[in-house]
Amino acid sequence: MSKPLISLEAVTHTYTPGTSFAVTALDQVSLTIHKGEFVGLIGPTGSGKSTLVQHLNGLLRPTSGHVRLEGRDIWERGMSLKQVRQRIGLVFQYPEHQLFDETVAADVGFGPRNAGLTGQAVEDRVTEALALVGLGGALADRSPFALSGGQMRRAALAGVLAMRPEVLVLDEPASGLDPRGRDEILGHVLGLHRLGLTVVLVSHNMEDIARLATRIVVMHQGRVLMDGTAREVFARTDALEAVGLSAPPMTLLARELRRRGLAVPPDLISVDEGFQAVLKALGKEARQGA
Amino acid sequence: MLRGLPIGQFIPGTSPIHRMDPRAKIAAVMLAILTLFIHTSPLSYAVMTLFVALAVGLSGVSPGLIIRGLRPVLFILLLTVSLHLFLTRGEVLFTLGPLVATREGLRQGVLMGWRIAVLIAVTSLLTLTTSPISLTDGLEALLKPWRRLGVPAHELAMMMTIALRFIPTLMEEADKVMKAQMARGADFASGNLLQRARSLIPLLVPLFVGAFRRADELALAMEARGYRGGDHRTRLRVLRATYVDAAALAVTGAFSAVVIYLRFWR
Repeated sequence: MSKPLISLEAVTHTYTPGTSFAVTALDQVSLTIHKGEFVGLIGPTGSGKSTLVQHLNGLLRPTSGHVRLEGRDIWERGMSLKQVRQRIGLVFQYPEHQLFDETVAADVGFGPRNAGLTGQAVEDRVTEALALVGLGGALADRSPFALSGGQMRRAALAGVLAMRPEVLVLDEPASGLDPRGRDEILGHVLGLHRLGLTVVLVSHNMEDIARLATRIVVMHQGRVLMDGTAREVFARTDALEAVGLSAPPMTLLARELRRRGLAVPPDLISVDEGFQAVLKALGKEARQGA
Repeated sequence: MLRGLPIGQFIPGTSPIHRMDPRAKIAAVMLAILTLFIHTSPLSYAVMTLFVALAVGLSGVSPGLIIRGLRPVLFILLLTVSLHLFLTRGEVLFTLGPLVATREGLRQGVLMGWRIAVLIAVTSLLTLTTSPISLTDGLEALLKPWRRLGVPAHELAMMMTIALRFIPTLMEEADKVMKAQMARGADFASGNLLQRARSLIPLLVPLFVGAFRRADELALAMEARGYRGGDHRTRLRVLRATYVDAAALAVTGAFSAVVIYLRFWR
């Protein structure tokens, strides 16, 4: 948990620099991601989340600053970006839009083939990756375009997992899916984290983030606004709302209850602990009233 | 790789060139292009270069941007110049292996290259100073008289509007898919020609699938809002020609006249 895996040092990224369209999407961002963490990345639209995640595996090069993987600058001479991208798997938003091959298995095998694997080695990776996302058996030989939306999403996730990354970065993996598809994909992500993968999850859904992430980073206007545990971040609901974000429903309920005079803690996150806290608060009040 | 294409790169402004009626602007550009093909003497090219330079100056578009617009056709320019240089008979300048460069070829090649450069410059100026919407409005208005002959003016204009509208979207999509495949270790930049062509499959298939999906959604959205083609449609923006347009056409006509004079009466 303590070993720094990826670190950004004062990373600034400006799109189309030197023109009238120049936009600074990241402004002096410093961030360290440790092995085994589950980092939730939140922020309003245009806050720089997507730009940030594309720096993690070298798809974008910082205008200034450094991105280090285990201490080594990934843009340094002699570093293989291909290897960096294999170790840090990035799943884009709507990843099913990148499916292209004739069968699910062939598509999932794209990453391993690019890494130079052939034959049985590729097949093993494909079988393993498809099993990790719960898409085994007959589906592997179907066309990826014949799958359901949720299945396509999971096939695309398998395409990244087949490279056996150490870090999995996901940009809104559940957007546009029905509740069942959402639970499935997030369940698989949580399972992968338990298997030892370091996870960075970008999401707009505060409840998902609160439930899954061990640490939350809040982005606003290209800077890191907050960085802490779910409890620390969501306790500052007013600050989150000021930048157009929100908190999990339970946290919002707790704030409302406190406003109306019920002594519940401000950092409630899950429904379960909310239930316990309300009972406790009511019990106290009942005793006081008696 | 996909950046820097000047197609549809409209730069808003308030110059007289920007404010021209698109019909007049298209007509003026057409006239300038036709004029370029009338005569091939250095003097007439100088006249037309002056014309374009004046127009660029008046538009406030930076000349660097116009020159950058030539970059995508640089290969065609060089090919044209060298084909003329080596394939024209005449006084030998130098030889390069089996290739013989001639004085006449050099002259011809430079003039041809010049013609293409001016041609690109004047059309870039059109797209740089005219928003895609007014460009298609202008084209539709200019094509309308040919409707009786079966030219589907409105449909053509609508297709062009849609195509122009989706160029940035497709570029963005291409960029995204490319990055997604690069994240899976794809390599678009190395290997021989065949390998590179093959490496484009993971890019092109998702791009086509996406384009068809978008086309489908757009057609549905248009029908849902009652779109039925051009008949009896009123316009939000009514085109109005002013004295600026008359003046611009007159100036273009004058330059044209000079070139015609140089060609036929001198």
